[in-house]
Amino acid sequence: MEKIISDVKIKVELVFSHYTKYIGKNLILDDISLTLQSGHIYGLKGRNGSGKTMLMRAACGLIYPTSGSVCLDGKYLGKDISFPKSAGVLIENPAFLPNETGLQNLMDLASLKKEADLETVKQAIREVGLDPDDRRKYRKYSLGMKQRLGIAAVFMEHPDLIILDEPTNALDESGITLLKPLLERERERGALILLSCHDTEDLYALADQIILIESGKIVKQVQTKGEDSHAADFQTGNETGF
Amino acid sequence: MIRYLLIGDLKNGIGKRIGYLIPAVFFGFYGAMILVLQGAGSETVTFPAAIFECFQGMHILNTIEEVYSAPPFFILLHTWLAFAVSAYIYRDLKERGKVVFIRCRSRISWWVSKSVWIVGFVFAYYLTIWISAFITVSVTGEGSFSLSEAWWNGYCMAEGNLPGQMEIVLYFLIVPFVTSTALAMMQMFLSVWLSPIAGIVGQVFILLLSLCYCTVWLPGNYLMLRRSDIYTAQGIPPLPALLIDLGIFLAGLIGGMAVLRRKDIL
Repeated sequence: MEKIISDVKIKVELVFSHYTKYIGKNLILDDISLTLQSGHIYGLKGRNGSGKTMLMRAACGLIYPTSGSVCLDGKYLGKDISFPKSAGVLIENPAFLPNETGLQNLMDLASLKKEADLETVKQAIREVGLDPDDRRKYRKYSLGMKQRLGIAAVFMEHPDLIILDEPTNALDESGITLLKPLLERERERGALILLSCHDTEDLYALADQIILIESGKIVKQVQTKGEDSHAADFQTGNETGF
Repeated sequence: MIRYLLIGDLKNGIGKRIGYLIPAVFFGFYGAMILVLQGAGSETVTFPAAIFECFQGMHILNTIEEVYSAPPFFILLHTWLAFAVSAYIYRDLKERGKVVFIRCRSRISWWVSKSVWIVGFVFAYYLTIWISAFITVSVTGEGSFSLSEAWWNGYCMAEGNLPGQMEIVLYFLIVPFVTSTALAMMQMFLSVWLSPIAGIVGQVFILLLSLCYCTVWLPGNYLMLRRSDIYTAQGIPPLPALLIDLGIFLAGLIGGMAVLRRKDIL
């Protein structure tokens, strides 16, 4: 696995530089400096309200910094570009049109970029364990099915930047099992993946590197896969409440 | 990109929101039926007369106390439109819209698409009222596009001359539609700037203030045919009304672009 990752040509580099965000008087993100690169899966870990989701919003251009910047491939988000050119994002809960089927919903979204045709969209739906020919409307879907469709929407166009906020929410064991090979495939393709997950075990299984956030500040970065020394770092983190 | 956004907004924001237009069927029907229930002759039950019933609003007040008799039908017709506009913007911005935002990669394109949608949605709302009123007057009366002098100067107590066809189109159809579109645009701007609730409150506030004060600077007056210069000499002429509507629409369009350019999408 290490060999494959190291051979990937880097396509995306996301650089946070002293990124600080206030909402009202609340400090949400505190002087974040971080470089994320293609071909890696970064897992965000932290308590509720620690700033994980906000960091993800910042990474995809949904929020603006109070000070500092976030730069994608040399282009400043919010200045040079509004949003990343190629991004698949699932933040909080998946949101689709309730009166359309899963396939119709994804085709609607795919029509905006014209990067995925019908067969590609159907394949993405199959990959998350759903039936693309299911005639049920989205509103009839269970929570787990909705989450799976949200994940399919993220992966269907094979974006360079993938952001998944709590993707394992509402997923059963088979759903989590399906997610891992999808993430690995995209990583091997060279995508930069940023995900958060409240379950440490799942996060450890899915991510190459874990970023611990507390009160909007990055307190630790730990390698979870690869060399022993990095794994030891993780163990150390675990012992201190990580 | 903007083309696909537009198709999506027209399909999802109008085509799949037919339910929001159902009250408009009732409003058109009510406008025509009220004439029948008042015992008007068949020559009086015409399309413009039905539209007058829908959009007559309230005469110019002599004392502020009179506002307590504000016409509920007028309020209902316009606040329902405000609600329908707000519901779409709220859901789109807070839910699926985030994904669409990122995919279209342009905040401005998203806003332009919404601005076209608002024109389309308000037109669909008015068209539904017009069609409903026309069908009802066709069944119950003559279904003609003219007004009877006896009704205009008698029952309506209008001071002005009987409007001709062009004046009916301008005063009865175009001015209310353009005004509603401009106010809806302003509401949409307030929705993205502050909140959807602020958008509705702003819209209702202007309508209520317009009931109290007849001035060209309060566009709610243009929605009331009893406040037009075709009805009364103190009424508001259509040209300044349309120009102010255009100004409001453009201010909403440009203001929305400016706000969205720096807005945090939470």
